[in-house]
Amino acid sequence: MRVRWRILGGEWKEDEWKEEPLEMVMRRLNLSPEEYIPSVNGKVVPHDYVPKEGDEVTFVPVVSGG
Amino acid sequence: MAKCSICGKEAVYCAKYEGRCYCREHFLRWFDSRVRRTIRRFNFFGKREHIVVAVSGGKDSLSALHYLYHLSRRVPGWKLSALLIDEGIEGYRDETIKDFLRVVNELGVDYRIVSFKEEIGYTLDELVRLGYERNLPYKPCTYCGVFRRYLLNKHAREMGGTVLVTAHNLDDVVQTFLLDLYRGDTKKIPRLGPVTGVSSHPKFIRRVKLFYEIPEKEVVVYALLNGIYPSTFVECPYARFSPRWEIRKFINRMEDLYPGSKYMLLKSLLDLVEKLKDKYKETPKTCKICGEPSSGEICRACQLKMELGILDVKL
Repeated sequence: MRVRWRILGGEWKEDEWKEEPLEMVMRRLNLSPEEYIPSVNGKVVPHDYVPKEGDEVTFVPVVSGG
Repeated sequence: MAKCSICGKEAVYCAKYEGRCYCREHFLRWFDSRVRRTIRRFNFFGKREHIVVAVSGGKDSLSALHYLYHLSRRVPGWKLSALLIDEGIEGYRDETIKDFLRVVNELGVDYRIVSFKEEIGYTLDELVRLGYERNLPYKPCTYCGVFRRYLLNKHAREMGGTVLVTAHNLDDVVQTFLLDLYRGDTKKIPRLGPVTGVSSHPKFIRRVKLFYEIPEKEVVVYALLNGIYPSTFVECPYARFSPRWEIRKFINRMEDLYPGSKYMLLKSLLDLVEKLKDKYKETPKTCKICGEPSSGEICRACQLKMELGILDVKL
């Protein structure tokens, strides 16, 4: 399944993802669920959301530092 | 996808440490009830207050301003203002000031912007360079923290503020707690309570930490749901130089493995604050140089200026 994704502030990427909860995706991408809030197509979603074909996923960093 | 534990609608957030999920509406209600509980529990505000919110333009302080704006509309005796300290960090603070102005203008809140350049004579970038040239052992966050606290107190007072609100959240507080422990600096622990400045000094404005019991990621969700998350994500270029960065990673890893760890740290901290507050009780003094409140004969801001060679005084 093709999904467009980015870390807020970074470039969009398009990747093939398995059908699995975002929390699993985040762990594969080495993004701690404690440090990123997922948003899909502009809406905040819980970490167990399973992305669908065509979704645009943004991981919003919890830390801004300053 | 997870459902709201209250109404069964699609959830936006799940709090693992309590095993519950919330839809948008119930997340916002839950958030509000917990911040109000903190306000009541620690007696943050009286019936008549001029509340000055320290705002950087980041998601925490914009959320604090947004939250208190809505709360203050229900309390006739409260006046609300915002105060931003522009440290002069190129490519960072100029961006967050845009978000600050957008929100204060939307809410119609009075505000003041104060810059390091005008008040200290140098931007933070320049101070960091000066410190480096003089081989001073300080990290950028030391200059930033000391001068920012100094200016916040001074200007909140000048604005007529009776209480200064900072947007410190649960994560900030427990990170500082562990940092103090790692440094063996237990004397500072009593300052980590939710209210600072209880000991009276006529020039000290009482400071309260609004999100003391709220995890940082829940403040982010609040900001996103209310459309006040900063329009562009910018990270302070100095953030990674601070030991806080590593402590934050460690605490987040513990929270991920053992949900509720941050609250357990907070509980330990509050116990220690209570036990140590009399032992390390500070009698506030007045700085001999600038006349501002100080824990010693000379305040930390004037000490740093002298070390940087930008304050020439003979005592």
